[in-house]
Amino acid sequence: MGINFQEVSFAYYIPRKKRLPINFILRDINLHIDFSGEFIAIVGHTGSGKSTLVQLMNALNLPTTGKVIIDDKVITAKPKFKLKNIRKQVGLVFQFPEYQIFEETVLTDIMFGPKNFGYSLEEARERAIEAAKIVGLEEELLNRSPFTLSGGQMRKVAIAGIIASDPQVVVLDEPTVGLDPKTKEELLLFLEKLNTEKNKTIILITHDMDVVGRFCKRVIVMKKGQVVFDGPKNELFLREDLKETYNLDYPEVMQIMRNIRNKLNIDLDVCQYTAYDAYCELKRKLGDKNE
Amino acid sequence: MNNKVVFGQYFDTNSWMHRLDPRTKIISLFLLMIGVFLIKNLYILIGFFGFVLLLVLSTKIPLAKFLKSLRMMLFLLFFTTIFQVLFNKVGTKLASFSLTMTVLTLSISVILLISYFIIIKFIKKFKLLLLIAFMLMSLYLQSEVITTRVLFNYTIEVYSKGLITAGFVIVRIIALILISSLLTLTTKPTDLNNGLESVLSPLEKIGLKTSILAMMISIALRFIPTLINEADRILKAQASRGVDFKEGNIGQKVVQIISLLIPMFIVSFKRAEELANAMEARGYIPGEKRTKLYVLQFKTFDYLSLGFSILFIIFGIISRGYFANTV
Ligand SMILES: Nc1ncnc2c1ncn2[C@@H]1O[C@H](COP(=O)(O)OP(=O)(O)O)[C@@H](O)[C@H]1O
Ligand SMILES: [Mg+2]
Repeated sequence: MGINFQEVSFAYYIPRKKRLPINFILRDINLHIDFSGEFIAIVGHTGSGKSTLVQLMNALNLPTTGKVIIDDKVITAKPKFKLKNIRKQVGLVFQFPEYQIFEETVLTDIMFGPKNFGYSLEEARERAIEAAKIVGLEEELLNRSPFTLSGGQMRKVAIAGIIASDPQVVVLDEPTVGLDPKTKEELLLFLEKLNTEKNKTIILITHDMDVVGRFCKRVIVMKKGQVVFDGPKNELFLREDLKETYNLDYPEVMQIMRNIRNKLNIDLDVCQYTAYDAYCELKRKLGDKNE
Repeated sequence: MNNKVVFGQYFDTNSWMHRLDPRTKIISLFLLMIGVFLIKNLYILIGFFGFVLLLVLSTKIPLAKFLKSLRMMLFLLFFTTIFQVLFNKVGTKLASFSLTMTVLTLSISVILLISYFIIIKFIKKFKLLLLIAFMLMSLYLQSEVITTRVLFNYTIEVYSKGLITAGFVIVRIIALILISSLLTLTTKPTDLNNGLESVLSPLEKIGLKTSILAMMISIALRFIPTLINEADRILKAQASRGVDFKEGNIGQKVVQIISLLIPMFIVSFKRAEELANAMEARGYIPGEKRTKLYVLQFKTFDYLSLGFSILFIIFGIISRGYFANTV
């Protein structure tokens, strides 16, 4: 059970004249993503095709060649079945909430998804209320107009609107951009909770290596429409050529650890992503020495 | 930006007409259009039509581009021709067909009509040709088959005036379409807008704010691709919340449309507000005099073209006196 990409290439436009070249945005993607428990970051330059890739995961984009297999439904360029069920299993949250919020109250807007996916009105309401609680929307907000909310609250409404339908996989396209640090932290924490407690797979597109280091387990690096790295985050961050090959930075804490290691020339486990972990590791290694 | 969507029909071949000043093109082609209506003599009109064809050829734009805009008018042309030929009873009688509608031919005609509508579901091309073919078949049957019970008799008479008027209408409409296509195919929408602003600027004197109008048009042109992109995103965002635009009863359809329209409004207003701020920050004051980065400038060829068009109009007016209503 999961999302499988098999030799997937994707182009937005196929020129009508056969001899014109097709401008492929994605090429030869092979991926497997499990339906439970994964926490994946997709990183890469702007324009490398991250958003395009995640839109293939819930059949908003259809593969031009190759196939995407979701659950056990095979999606090709011209699928013969309804794609709605796939979108219930894989929920995609877009970057800008204003592209989807339209109802009169926050609650009805969150209920919109579950209603479309066939839940009864009562069920939809219950799910919406629960989803609002998960993302940390206060109860008194539920009857407000969503357009009176702040940007961070709106984004929470958008996310609640997706997780209310109880998807197995929640995909978020750059969810933390433009948020204040507190809201950002809250958001990431409830995603982590969703991941550990409900065993959902979380996939997020981000440019923030600290977020990748602290929360994600697996990293997919995109470059010019291709997957150039796919593996555990430690494997990626232990590479010395991160900057040269992938044009990525190390997480801040890790950078400090690397500097300390290089300066003092000691054997440090540099894969630390929070200040506290780094402190413990340093204490363990240096504490020995000093005494 | 690599998702450049080009609007309008502009097709670049860099011909002499592409290089003309947009004002020249607007004025000259406008004069030519007036000319089309001034000419009352069929031969002169056909000569004029030949001239327009030469202009079309000289742009080196593939003819298919022109045919595309012609195709939209085909039905109009077709029906005016039919009406003129059938109902205009002036001039000498050229031909008459007596037709008999019988039970058999009526039912066959109906079947033909139905099969036409079924066939065009599958064959998308040559719809009009098919329609004509089917009608001719039906007419032919009516002139030949008289075996079963006769419902009624009627005759179709074709008069000379009808044919000539039909000819006039066809040539005029095609010429008009070709001329307007010449303008839109050889001029970028932005240039067209600049040209129009300049041509219409005398209207500022009587209080019409043409510069503001032109600014609005150019902003609209600039934002069409952006808004199409936004619409696409909204569509996708709602689709991932389970909106299935291919199905649903009327009630659901309404909700689906609202779920697109409201975000569309919000996003458009947001864009508009941002743009207004950006424009104000850079000193734009509506109606105030502005200088242009690309100043439109007449060259020799522009004067030649303009002069020619004016001569042409004069000729058109004079020709009415000499060859009025001949043929
Ligand atoms: N709707 C679209 N239509 C056409 N081209 C698009 C569309 N969306 C994105 N692209 C193109 O696809 C490429 C990858 O874009 P995207 O997937 O948004 O990259 P990323 O999310 O990594 O920044 C870009 O070159 C972009 O111009
Ligand atoms: Mg993106």
